[in-house]
Amino acid sequence: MALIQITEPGQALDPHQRKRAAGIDLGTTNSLIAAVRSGQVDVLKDLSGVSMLPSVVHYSGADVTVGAEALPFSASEPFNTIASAKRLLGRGRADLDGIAADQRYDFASDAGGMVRLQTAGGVISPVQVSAEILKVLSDRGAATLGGPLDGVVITVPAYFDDAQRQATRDAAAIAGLNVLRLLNEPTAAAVAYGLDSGDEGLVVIFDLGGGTFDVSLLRLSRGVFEVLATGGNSGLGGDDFDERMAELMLEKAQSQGGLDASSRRQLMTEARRVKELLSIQSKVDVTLSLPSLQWQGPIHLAEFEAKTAGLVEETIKASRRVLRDAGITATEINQVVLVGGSTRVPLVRSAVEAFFGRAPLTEIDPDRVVALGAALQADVLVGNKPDDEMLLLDVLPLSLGLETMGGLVEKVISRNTPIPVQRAQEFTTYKDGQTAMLIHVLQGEREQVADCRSLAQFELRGIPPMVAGAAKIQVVFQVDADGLLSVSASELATGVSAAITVKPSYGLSDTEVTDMLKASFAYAKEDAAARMLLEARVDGQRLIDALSAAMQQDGPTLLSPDETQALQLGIQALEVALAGDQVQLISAETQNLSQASDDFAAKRMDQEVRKALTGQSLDGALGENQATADEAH
Amino acid sequence: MNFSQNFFEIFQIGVAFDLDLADLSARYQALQRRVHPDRYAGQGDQAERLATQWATQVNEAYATLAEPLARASYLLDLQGVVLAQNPTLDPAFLFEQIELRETLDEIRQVGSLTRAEAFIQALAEKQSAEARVFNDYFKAAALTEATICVYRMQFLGKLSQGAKALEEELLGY
Repeated sequence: MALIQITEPGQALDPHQRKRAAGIDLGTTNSLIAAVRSGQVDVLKDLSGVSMLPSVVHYSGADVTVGAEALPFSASEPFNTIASAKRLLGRGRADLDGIAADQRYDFASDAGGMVRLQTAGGVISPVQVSAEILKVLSDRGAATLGGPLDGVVITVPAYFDDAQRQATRDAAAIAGLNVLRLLNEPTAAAVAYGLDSGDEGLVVIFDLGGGTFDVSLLRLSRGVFEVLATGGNSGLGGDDFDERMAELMLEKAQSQGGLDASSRRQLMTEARRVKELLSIQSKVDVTLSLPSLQWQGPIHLAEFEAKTAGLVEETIKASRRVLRDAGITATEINQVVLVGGSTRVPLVRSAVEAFFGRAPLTEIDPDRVVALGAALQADVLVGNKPDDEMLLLDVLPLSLGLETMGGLVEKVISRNTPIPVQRAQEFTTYKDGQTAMLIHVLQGEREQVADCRSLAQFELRGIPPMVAGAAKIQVVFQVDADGLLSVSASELATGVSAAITVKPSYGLSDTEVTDMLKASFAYAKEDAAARMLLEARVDGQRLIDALSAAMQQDGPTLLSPDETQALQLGIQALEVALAGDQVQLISAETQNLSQASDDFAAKRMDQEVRKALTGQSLDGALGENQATADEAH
Repeated sequence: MNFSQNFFEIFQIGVAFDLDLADLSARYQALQRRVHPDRYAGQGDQAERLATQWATQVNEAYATLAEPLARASYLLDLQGVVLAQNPTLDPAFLFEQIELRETLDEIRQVGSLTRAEAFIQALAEKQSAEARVFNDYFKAAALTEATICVYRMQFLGKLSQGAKALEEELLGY
């Protein structure tokens, strides 16, 4: 898989080469899929013409229903009908105290790690719930775009930590999706707005969704979306406003004692309805007729606002912090964009407007803007727009660190550092003869281990016995463009090393993901062997296509005749293998050709980098040269 | 670009302390346009890995050159200067540091946000003054004096970090 496919501007792709790509907004309350078709980006609809898929999954024995069909079960079978699973992704039981989770879920016995839910379909991980939603959207994408998706971009809240990102990746793997990138939701929204308007300058994206809140500050200049700072709260959203509304109703109804689970669900549904109405009127007459509670009376906007003022203040506080992190004042901001259904709450709008001192933009439907932005990026990433100037430069949302003596956290990478990034830190032993060291990886801003999120723990063993302080242990953190972390540790004198991809304390192991994949509905129906053959063929063909295009373009300048011949022989061998149906042979030949082309790939990359800066005077008229730089080569 | 190039070579700019930061930022973006893994998404693991390495290197280079203390230390490193872990500095400077630290402790005890902010502002001015001095010495190839400047910048930087942490605490973050 070594080839770097670089298509020069003006070289249009053949229509048949156009790849099927989509952007997926996997939301707390609703999910959407969007795609670029005939140059137009739009959300994709199901057969009945509906685009929003409620993020609700109902389990009953072997049957799984997703979306609107699952909704009716929410009152009758609350614990078999999983809503807001996004809030549970990558979360342990202790993380969920704040969200009244007990009333909404039947948690399986706590074995540590990510929470599991007890349902009529067995014990289910929130990752599997998300995978079911992704599968429905993926099928919709395939049906609309005329074949299986070549790749997708899935959005995540910018403030998602590593465990939550990893869980999202795992859900996509179980759903059989090829994820091109995890994209931060505010960045996606900026893309949807920025590409349309060609805006320049500083833009704040204020994204209050069903269960998460993000605020990001971006600098836009000529297709570059550079995130300067991001902040938020991955456990604050419309759900909390619903909770407050439910509280308010219970108070007014002077309800004594608790509600049963079914009444509770009905109450929440009513609470949401009243909340939404209060976005367009100042009073709603409510009639509650629940099995365990009857009440009739008015709910006033002012009462609701008094009840939720604290939540809104949280969002403003996070906004203030983002500006501070970037060293920007509110008056320097050129645009404020509202994203997420919860920004329809009038108090949220007025608070945002007051804080930034300008009316926010809401032209694009705040429920769709994230999916639309993701679709635009997916189209670029999959290779459909090779001459596109769009570039997204994102940051790490939360600092990463290691536990040191005394239960303190030493930061290795600070929040808002551009990704991808790699940083190393050296530690030493603190006891004579110490032969092992526990590496505890944490994410968060606080000094105490207990106040940060534990991502993973692993041991570096086999350190030769030395006096305390003599060993040099280097811990390397790498964060890729998806914001995913991997950590390795080694003792520098001896080279003893240990490495892990952070499969966090709150994640699934690779084996679990594979098992879930096997158990998954779609997979069971297919012949596994046929699927493997198909995948091997796709991989092999993709390599041949990429390599052939690259050789045509750069072969004459970068390859010697011998090298060219060797690669051509490799291509022929792979083509022969592709004509047969032996998976192993195809994989082996693909692997061989991939290795054989590594050097060529590296040379092309070097050439790319030289092109980036040579022959350009960048001072002064910064971007104007860049806009034309490509044509010069 | 290759991985043995120094950070100035990566951006194809002259080795100097007083950089045009807007130009650096433009060069950074131009490079990322070419090497960012987004350009190589779906083209296989090797291509993405290679791109990730390069993008990481470009980010590292930019982070180092964009920040005055990191840039100054890096310049000395290129000149073969090995910075001491516990440098000896002149007593007057150290005395001033102790006083500043005491002031910060006092601000912490009173919990005054306005004073914390004023303190950070005053420190920032000291830091830029020190950076200007570094620039003069470095240009004159007076490495010993420039090194002392870096030590002083390190002290001020640490202090500033502490003050900013206090400010965050007072802001309730």
